[in-house]
Amino acid sequence: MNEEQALKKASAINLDEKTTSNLSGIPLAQKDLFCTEGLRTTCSSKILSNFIPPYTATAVKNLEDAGSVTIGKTNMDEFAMGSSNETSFFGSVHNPWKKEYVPGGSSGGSAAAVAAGIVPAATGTDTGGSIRQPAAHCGITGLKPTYGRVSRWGMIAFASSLDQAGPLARTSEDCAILLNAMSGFDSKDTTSLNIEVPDFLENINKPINGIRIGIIKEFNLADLDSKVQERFEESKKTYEKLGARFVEVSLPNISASVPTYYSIAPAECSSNLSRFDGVRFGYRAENTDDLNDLYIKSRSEGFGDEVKRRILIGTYALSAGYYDAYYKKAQQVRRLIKEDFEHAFESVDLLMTPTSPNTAFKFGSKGTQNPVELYLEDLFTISSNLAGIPAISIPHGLVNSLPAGLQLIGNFLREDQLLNAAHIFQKNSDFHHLKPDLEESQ
Amino acid sequence: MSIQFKTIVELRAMLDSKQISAAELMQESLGLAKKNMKN
Repeated sequence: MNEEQALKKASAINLDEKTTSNLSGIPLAQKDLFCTEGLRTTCSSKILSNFIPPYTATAVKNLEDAGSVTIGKTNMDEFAMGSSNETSFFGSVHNPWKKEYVPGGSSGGSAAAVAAGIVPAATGTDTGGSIRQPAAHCGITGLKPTYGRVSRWGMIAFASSLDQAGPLARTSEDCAILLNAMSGFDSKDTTSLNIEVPDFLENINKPINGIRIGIIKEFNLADLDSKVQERFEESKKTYEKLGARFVEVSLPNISASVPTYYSIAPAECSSNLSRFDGVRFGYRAENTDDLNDLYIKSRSEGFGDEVKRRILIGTYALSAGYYDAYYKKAQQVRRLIKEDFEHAFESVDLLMTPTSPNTAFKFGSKGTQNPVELYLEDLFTISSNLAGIPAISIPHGLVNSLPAGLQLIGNFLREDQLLNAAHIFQKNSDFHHLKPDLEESQ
Repeated sequence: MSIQFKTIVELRAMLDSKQISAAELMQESLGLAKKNMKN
């Protein structure tokens, strides 16, 4: 919580002053992966449990400069590694719709805070679906922008070529407001795009008559839960009524997305997390014999099991003799997946999939024996991270009293099209108005 | 009027029409956060 500073900043806001910002005086929550000056930033890990950064991440600073007020930080999977919020050192976030169910991850705390109506919006980060999947499981809207659209400076890195910050909110219109403030070139991030940022609200109400939406042939939706499938078909009909035309497209390499991601992401994670050594940041083990012992004990005691698993996989994938077989090969396949998307967007404006193969699941019911079971949660979301393109999840109804998400994937830098198509859907449906019964879910 | 479940657009309208001050909005939001943290 950032109570003292939040109240101080809010008290100083003079609403009589002419302001051009929609965010002036609006409370927001920040995923605890963004560095916030003077405010503890833990990445939900023991190893950073007492880390107070000396600076604020650009994405958060941009939002605060636009007048918003940070009320606190939100829980998440440790170092953003997880799809269920079960890997946090501080304990799991509960899904506001049903307490015994996961909120999704890794930005589960942000999604739950918005779904419970505590804040109208929050920040998240998305490396393989970590904004969109929790947005889907909590019945809200979440946008992963194009890689490079929002600065990564001050975000604690997981997989640097995949990580991207973005907004979670109740509506796509609110996501557009946040994206307007978050976006922009930042010289402190070498991957930040030095291009003009459009006003994402400008064309949000444009009719979508004639828009071409692709259905990816290789995702066999008939294998999904029948009710998830039913919701998807209903949403297709809604878009058809709004004038959209559906086209089947082939992305021949997309089935390799999950293994490609789980070679690249752990490799980058093993490199990024080597900085947490007990010397420079955070937790330091006691009673150590020498420097090497200090490294081993600090990292062994400071990291959780899932983080250790990914560091081990990544170190193996990058090691001499295996680099070509795993990391280099995965990067080559990644290129093919990116080219598949480029080819698809020659004939369609957007692609549409369910956000997740299922709705939220019960704590402890997935991935406890076999982590791959949980990795498959990201089946529909991972490929847009590999290709660096934007994607949004919007709520499109309930399945067994839990929210289901619909994903729209856009071409490079076409967040405007995504937000437009999502907003028109929301103007013609009321799924984003559904609220959890918080008393019943407790 | 409760601020819970309101969108940014709705809260902006409440602030601009002086139905609520920024300080009151913040207090309510912090109150909701504390309530849900306890639960």
